[in-house]
Amino acid sequence: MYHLEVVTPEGYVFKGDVEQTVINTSDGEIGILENHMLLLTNVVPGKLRVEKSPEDIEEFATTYGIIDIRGDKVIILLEEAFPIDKIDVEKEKSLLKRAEERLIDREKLSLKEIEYYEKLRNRALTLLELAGVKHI
Amino acid sequence: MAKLSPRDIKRKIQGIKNTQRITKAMKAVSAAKLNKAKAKLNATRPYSEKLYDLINDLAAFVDRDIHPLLKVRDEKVIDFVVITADRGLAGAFNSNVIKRTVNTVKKLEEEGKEVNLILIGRKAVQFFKNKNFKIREEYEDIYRDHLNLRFTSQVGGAIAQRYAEEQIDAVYLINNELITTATYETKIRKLLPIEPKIDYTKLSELTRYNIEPSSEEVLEELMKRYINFQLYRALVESSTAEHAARMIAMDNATRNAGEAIKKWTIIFNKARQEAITTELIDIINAANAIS
Repeated sequence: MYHLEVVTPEGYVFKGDVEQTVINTSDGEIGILENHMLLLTNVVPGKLRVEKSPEDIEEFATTYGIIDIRGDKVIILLEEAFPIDKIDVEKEKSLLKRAEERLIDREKLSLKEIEYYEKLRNRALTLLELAGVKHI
Repeated sequence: MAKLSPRDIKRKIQGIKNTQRITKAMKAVSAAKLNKAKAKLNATRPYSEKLYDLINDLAAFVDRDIHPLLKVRDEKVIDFVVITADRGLAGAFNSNVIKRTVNTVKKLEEEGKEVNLILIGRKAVQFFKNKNFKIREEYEDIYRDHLNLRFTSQVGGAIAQRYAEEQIDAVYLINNELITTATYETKIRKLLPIEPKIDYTKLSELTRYNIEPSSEEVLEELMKRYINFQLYRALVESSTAEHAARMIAMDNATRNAGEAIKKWTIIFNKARQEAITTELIDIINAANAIS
């Protein structure tokens, strides 16, 4: 068991002792058990699985953020995170639409804008997939 | 002032009473919104502390003079993020920010610096538009639906890029902040360059870290997050203070209306008494004349 904190600017999403955490990082999915090596890396949109015990599991949808694995304490800082069944499908669809519309005229955008809209598209696609919506 | 008939005065009192009813309702609404905003503000604290700690830790690993977001330069070109409300009826809430901005920008320009404004809030946009100021961006109507990191990362991303490309040398934030429920203050804060507080005693612990892909890249991500988050926090601070300011303003208005009602009621009573007296005198004179 170790202590896990999942924090967004809107407050704690999860705080408590867990056995295992599975999260999507920029290098792929990682599972974190007790005594994991110290690691600091970026989190990308995907599913966050929090196992308090093999029977007691909570799942969240995450957007971008950072994970800090420091001995007996793991902190995940996220822009947004919510239970999978709370994904706002309409909102994600409209975000996806906005991102794709902007990305059509790629040459008109600055590099930063392209990065922003690609991240937005990735987020919306991932969250829609988690919510079980087939991409149109 | 022309003498008002008792009936005119009565109408006037009714008018004030109606206004008072509105100000009372607005006060109640602001009080409810204030509590919500305060909760939102308090909720930012854990994120803020953890983010700041991480930046301080990581900054120990990188060379400040090389990192594009930590590099300190002479402040020649400055971005000024001005945050006001969209709406008024909140006492001096918006004008405090505007006045302070005008004075500060004037001073900086006299020192030979170039200042660009990023305006957030309709009141700021209305004031600074078509005046002799350089405006980079303007945003309205964000408090209701867009008070989130997605909005601020758009603004913050552009700021970070300009700073990294050395188009600007510093970024300041100006906004109102709640001090107590009854008072707020206009504050100017430096957003960039960030001055991390490095604790070198933690270095041995930190070197055991695996940082992927690299400490520079993770730190850069963190710094961008920090910028976006500080903007978000400033907006939440401002909207909290706005509700408090409006609550105070409406409380004062309600009280003033109460006093006005009292004053006009006395005038009304006097006028009525006068009318009665005049009528009585008439009747008595008439009675005397007959007898």
